[in-house]
Amino acid sequence: MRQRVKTGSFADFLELVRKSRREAALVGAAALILISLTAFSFWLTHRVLNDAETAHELNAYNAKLIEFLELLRTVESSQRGYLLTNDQEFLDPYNEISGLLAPMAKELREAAPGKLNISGKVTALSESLRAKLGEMAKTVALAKEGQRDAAIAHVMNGVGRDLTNQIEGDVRLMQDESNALMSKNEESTTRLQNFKFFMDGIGALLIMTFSFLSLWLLLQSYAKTLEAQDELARANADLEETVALRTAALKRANEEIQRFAYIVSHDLRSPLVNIMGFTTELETLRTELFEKLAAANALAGSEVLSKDFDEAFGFIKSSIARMDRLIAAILKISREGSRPLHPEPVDAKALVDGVVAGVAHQIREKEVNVVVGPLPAISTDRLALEQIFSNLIENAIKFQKPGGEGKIRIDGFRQGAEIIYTVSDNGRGVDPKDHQRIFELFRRSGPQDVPGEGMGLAYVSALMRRLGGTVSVESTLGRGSTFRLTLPTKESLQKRMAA
Amino acid sequence: MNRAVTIVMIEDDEGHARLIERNIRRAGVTNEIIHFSDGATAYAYFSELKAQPADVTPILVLLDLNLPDVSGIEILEYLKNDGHLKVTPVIVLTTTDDQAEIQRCYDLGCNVYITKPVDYQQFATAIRQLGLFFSVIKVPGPLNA
Repeated sequence: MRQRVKTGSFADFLELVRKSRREAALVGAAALILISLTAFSFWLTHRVLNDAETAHELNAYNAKLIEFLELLRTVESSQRGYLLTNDQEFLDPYNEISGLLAPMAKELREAAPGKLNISGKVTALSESLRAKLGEMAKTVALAKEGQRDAAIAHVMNGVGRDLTNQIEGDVRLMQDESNALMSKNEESTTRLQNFKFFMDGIGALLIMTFSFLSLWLLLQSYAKTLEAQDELARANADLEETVALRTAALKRANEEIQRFAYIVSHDLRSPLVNIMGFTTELETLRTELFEKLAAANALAGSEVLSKDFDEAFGFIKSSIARMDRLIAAILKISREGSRPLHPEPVDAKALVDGVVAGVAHQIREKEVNVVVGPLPAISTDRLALEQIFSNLIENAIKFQKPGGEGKIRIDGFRQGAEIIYTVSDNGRGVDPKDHQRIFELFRRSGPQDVPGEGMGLAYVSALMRRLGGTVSVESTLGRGSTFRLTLPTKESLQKRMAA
Repeated sequence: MNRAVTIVMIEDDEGHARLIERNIRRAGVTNEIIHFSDGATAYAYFSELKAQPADVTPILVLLDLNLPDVSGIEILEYLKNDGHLKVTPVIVLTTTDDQAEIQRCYDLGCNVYITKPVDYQQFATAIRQLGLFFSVIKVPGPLNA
């Protein structure tokens, strides 16, 4: 039964570990998912920002391409205007801007966004631009030298126009390329944002799931705790009930024994009255009989008969007397067991002095020296304590060593939650094999030369038990005995009652 | 002693009854002694007594407490609560020397309580003194309304 309870609780413990492991795993998984979701969100945001930057770069580049084309047109129209009018003023934009085109082309190459794969086109553009600039410079130079017709003819042969067209085409291509990239970028951004939205949704869902799961587990474990508490309370109630039942049963058993002892002693006494009564009547008859025999002179040789009669009567009567004392002893102990105790503060020193004074006659007779040391006061039943000391002191007086100088000491001290009194003598002592036996009813130790029924110490033992204490003996045969009374203090007795 | 007084002894132990009677006689008491060895026959006698006219013989009761059928206490209670018989002197003569029991008997109106000692000398002395007591007390007849 006990083993089963033990394994049961161990299984409970394992179950708890298993359960808490599950909960820890749950919390860990939730944390991991949250962290990855956050990281993923960061990454997505970063991607979106990157895309935005790319878009910005592409826009700026497109603007540059347009600006380049516009400048080229301005330069070209300035050249053509000059060639047509031969007016120096028309040539001013050419002079101002044509020098900027080459650096701009270079910038277009350098500023091209990394993702834009247009280096080939930029190279072609630069070459075309160089050719165009060369062609324009040539016509302008011819016009300045006065060969205006040659210059116009040169323009008219279409080389310059073709070059411009080529440049324009290149720029358009580059723009297309840039736009394509831009739309691709936009698509990617949209996709990323959709993805992020989707992932956020999943994250929220997971968090909610975990929250509900945790809550559920928590509620479950709480319910189990409540159940366990209920069970514990029930078990406690059961235990209290069991203790109360056992106590009541013990009380009943004790009362029964008391009643039994009481009834037995009375019922035993009743026939004893008859035996004793009729024995005595018989004795009277015997006397009358012998008187009649004497009167009839028939007494000759009847001395032995008379003696046998006397002996028989003697044995019967002493046995009855002894039986009566034994019954009285049982009755006394039975009565003591049912007498209600009244604990009160007792001055032990005064009490023992009183007991010693009560046996002063025996003390004088046996020439015993009795010393009563300082004794701690105690809260207990006065009458019971008085009877205990009275029995122990009377015993100490009775069982002196023949011819010895009798000494009896009564001492006491407090030890922790207990008060200890000792009654020591230098008398005949008790054989160690009888140390337990002497406390039993009607048992005696040593030579049976002192009258008594063997009930004094049994009585002391019964009284001490009722007072919540114990009595023990330390003794060496021929050296003396020390009887030790251990009694609880009032506080420790109350604590014991409350427990 | 008033010669008309009848001694009613309720005692289940024949031996005790014999010893008591013998010692009463030895004390010189010659009154009639009626012996009942259980409660039922004693009750029957008492109810018969109550039915008799006023000039009935007065009685004195010697009562043992340990009877086989009813408790002696019950008989004592019956006698002391009866309108006619409550004046009857009741002497409890029993082996019980329990203080509470003695107290209870006196509370119920018992007149004398004597414990039967095992020591026969004491027993005989007690009964003879009781006989002496019988010779001096005056016992009223039952009250008849």
